[in-house]
Amino acid sequence: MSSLRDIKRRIKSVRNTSQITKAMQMVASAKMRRAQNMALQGRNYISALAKVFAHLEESIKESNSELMHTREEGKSLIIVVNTDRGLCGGLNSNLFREVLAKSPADADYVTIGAKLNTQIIRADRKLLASFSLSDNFDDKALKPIFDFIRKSYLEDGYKEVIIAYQEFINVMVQKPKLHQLLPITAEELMAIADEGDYNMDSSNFLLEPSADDLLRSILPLYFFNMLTQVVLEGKASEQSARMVAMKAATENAKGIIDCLTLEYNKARQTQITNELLEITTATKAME
Amino acid sequence: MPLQFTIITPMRTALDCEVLALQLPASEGELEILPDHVDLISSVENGELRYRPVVGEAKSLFIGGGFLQVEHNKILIVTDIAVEAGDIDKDSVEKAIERAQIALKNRDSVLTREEQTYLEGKIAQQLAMLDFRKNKR
Repeated sequence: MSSLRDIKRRIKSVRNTSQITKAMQMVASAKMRRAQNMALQGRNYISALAKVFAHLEESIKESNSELMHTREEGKSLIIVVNTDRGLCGGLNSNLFREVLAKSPADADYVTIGAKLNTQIIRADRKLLASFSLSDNFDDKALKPIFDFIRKSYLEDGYKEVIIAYQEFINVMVQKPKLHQLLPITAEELMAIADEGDYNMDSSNFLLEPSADDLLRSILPLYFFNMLTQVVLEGKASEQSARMVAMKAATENAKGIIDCLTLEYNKARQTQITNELLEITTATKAME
Repeated sequence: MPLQFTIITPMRTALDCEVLALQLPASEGELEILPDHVDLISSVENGELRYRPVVGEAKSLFIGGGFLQVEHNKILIVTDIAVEAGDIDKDSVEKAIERAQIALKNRDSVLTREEQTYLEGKIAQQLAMLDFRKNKR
């Protein structure tokens, strides 16, 4: 049995750790609430855009926008939205497993968040660039990423741009998801428009300026906000996963402290018994 | 019958209320919407949006470019920014303009056409915002 002092020291260190994890849990839950709100509001915005799309059905089908142009050949570009910091459970590794399983081996990768960089390189995949976003990023910070993706797609002959992220379902559940960011397909737009329950009698609508012009300005907006949305979902998932992981860690630490305290008390009891035994033996011997 | 009026920006639902009338800068010129307006989709420019709520006096907002949809007395505006005059911080807007102008000047050769358009658009939006603020004071 380890000495009393050893046990005491261990209890102290576990208690310190649990205070840290507890603090991290609080921070994560505060950030989570914010990220969650933004992610949900972002969904609102996308669906509002989709309401407008719903009335442009005809021109969507005939559109020759470069963002909707499909190519037969070319490699895939995969954007992986992961986290900059760890301590968020299996969030990143689950996402990475999904990405490896579902993407072609010759694909190029871009990461937002740095945690998966080494794993991507170790898996012998080509990493083109890695971006970092702070927790309360704004449009300005997202713009270079947007430009990079757009430029890569338009000029470097990629067949498709896929974005992989952890979809925020609720605090306990996040699901790894791959979404085709580019080219934007008519089916995708109509699917989003269909989700909302809007009546589609587009014939009666007056369009100003023409449907084509509207579409030309709305498509980049949609693309940009889709990217924003995905990153927001990623952030919300990260904070929830971290909160849950830290909560588990705090509870675990509590369990360990209980065990150690029990052990400590037992050891103390033994020590006292031993001392008493010594005293009584000594008195007995003196009689 | 009042109009159901909603403004949605990426960050928040900026406004959701019932109004009697609404004036805004559309791509084809100033537009006024009254009850029973024809169904319409239009793009919206930077500028001042005035509306008259069912109760209280007329109010105005600055809105950035975006889209407007009118459908059976339901008005939806999707835009990247919507603020009231009091919420516009002059210093930060001026700084933003300055930053954008410097970026435009310094990297003239490096900027792609899109980046230029983006920056110019940003400047135009911020200037319009300042203008709006000045008029309200």
